[in-house]
Amino acid sequence: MDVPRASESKDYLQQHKIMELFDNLTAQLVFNRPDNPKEFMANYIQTLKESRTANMNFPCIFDETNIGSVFGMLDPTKKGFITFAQYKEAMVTMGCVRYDTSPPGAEQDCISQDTFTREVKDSLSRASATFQPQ
Amino acid sequence: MDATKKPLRIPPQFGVYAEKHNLFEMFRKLIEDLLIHKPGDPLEFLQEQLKRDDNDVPAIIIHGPTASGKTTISKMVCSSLRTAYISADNLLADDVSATAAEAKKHLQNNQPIPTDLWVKMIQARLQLYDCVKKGWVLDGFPETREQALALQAVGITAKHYVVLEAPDTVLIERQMGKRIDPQTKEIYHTTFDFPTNPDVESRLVEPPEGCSETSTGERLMKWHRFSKGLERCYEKYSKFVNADQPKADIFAQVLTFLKSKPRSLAPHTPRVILLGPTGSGKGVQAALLASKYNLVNVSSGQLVKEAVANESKMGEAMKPYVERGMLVPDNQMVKLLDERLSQVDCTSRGWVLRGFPRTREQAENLSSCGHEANRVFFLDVPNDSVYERLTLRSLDVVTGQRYHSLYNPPRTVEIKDRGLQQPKDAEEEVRQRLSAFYAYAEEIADFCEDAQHVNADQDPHTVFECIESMLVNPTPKKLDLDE
Repeated sequence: MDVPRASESKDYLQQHKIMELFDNLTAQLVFNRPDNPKEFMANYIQTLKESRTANMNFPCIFDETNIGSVFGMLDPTKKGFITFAQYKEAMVTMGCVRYDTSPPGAEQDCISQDTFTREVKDSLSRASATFQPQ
Repeated sequence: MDATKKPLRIPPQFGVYAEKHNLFEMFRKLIEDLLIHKPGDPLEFLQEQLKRDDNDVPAIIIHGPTASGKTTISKMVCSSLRTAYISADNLLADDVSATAAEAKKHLQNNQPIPTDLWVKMIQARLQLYDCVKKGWVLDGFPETREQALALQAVGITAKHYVVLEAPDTVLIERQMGKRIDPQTKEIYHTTFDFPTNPDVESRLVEPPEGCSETSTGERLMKWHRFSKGLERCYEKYSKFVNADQPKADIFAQVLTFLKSKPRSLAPHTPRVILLGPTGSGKGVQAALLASKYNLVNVSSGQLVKEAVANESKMGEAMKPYVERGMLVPDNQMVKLLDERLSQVDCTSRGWVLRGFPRTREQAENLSSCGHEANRVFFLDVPNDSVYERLTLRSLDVVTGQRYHSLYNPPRTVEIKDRGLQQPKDAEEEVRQRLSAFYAYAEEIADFCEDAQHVNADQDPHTVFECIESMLVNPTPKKLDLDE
């Protein structure tokens, strides 16, 4: 696309993370299937706006219990640790794109539940923050 | 989230949900608005757009060369759909706006009005309440491709573009008879459309642009110069109507066009229900649809027979009914269909259902299970054709070939003598089945508001083409007409 207006539009989309925003909106709709989608989407955007100003509490489909259960599945014997390879696979499964590739415990190949939970939460909130960083 | 890394498993009910709420079109419109206006705060902008009411209001442009009847038809459409009427003249006549005054100054200096002034005037007019709530009809504007593109750049697009065409000679003659009532600005014609009121008749004057052949010829040349460029702008939703017909005919054609929705890029899994009396060709059409569009052909009768043959739990429950030749009770039927339609092949490829629902209650039960069809077709065929089609059928028991005395007669007398008729095809039986169908046909038609009727009294491939076109095009919308 060589037209200047087309590249302007592409830049605009990237800068404001519009496609990620619509991805998240669609995910919420698939999960919840509300009877009034427009109202639901407007409310979601409201939560997003508030979290933007407060810089916390980003809306996200996964919550702590989900992360806990994923960890539990990876660690059935309840050692309290998972291997580095498992950690990377879990990140990919949860859809985390930018995560810490060398978290504490990576050398020993034992990553604790706390570290895991923290990394997942950070990465997911980065994914949900679909707006231009203030 | 990279789509290739994580396999997306979306529940099939989401497909039905997304179609019902038209999510694809909604998202497309939101992103389109975002890219046109590029707000600094997209979240705020999106919220506002979402809070606005569903705007499926008419947005029509009616165009054509001079004397084609644009204003007449536009006014008829406006009064019928109760939309706002906008034309170049009434934009300029606006006394309040500063842009209109500026535009008039250009006219006084005999210069063409610059495009951006036009765009500003139209934008301002379209923001007004009546246009937003009830839609608008634009008469004879934009005149050039440059103006059309400028309008599109700010996000003003029509949903329907009607062009009234007629040969030049017809138009020149028509223009000579054109008369205007100066008070009401209504257009009349000395031959075709004379006013009934004698007062109006006495007031009539020739239009300001003149009726002479040369002036009309000049205006026609201007139209021909710009029309092709304009057509390219509005290709996807334009319709060319022959203006050399009576007013009422043109209006009827325009209205049918206005009921059509543009084809959308939204993913579409066809879920078709074919309804019709026995002998209307449901089986044939279902087989053709299934083979061409890779849909699953679901026949309720067939499913019951399969269940009984498989001796499954449901089959055992249905066996007594089948043995006695009675219809299986509703709840069992619905359960059987629910199970079949929820299987992965049906939900992903789509399905064609025939022979069900037969009553309104069955239809309601089926949709409450979550299996709503997005196309319902009634195959209409007169009773005589049904008798003709069914009672003349015969089967050659030796070769297994099926014949029909009229459409596919057996080759030799020997084969004809060997042929047997199905007891099902006897006239009495057919009559009973027909009356059973028509008893409930009306209430099902009431329930399925989007049902479309197909004339099934033709050969199978013509009927199939008709069904195909209705399948592929979006269902026509119901216009809120003011009769």
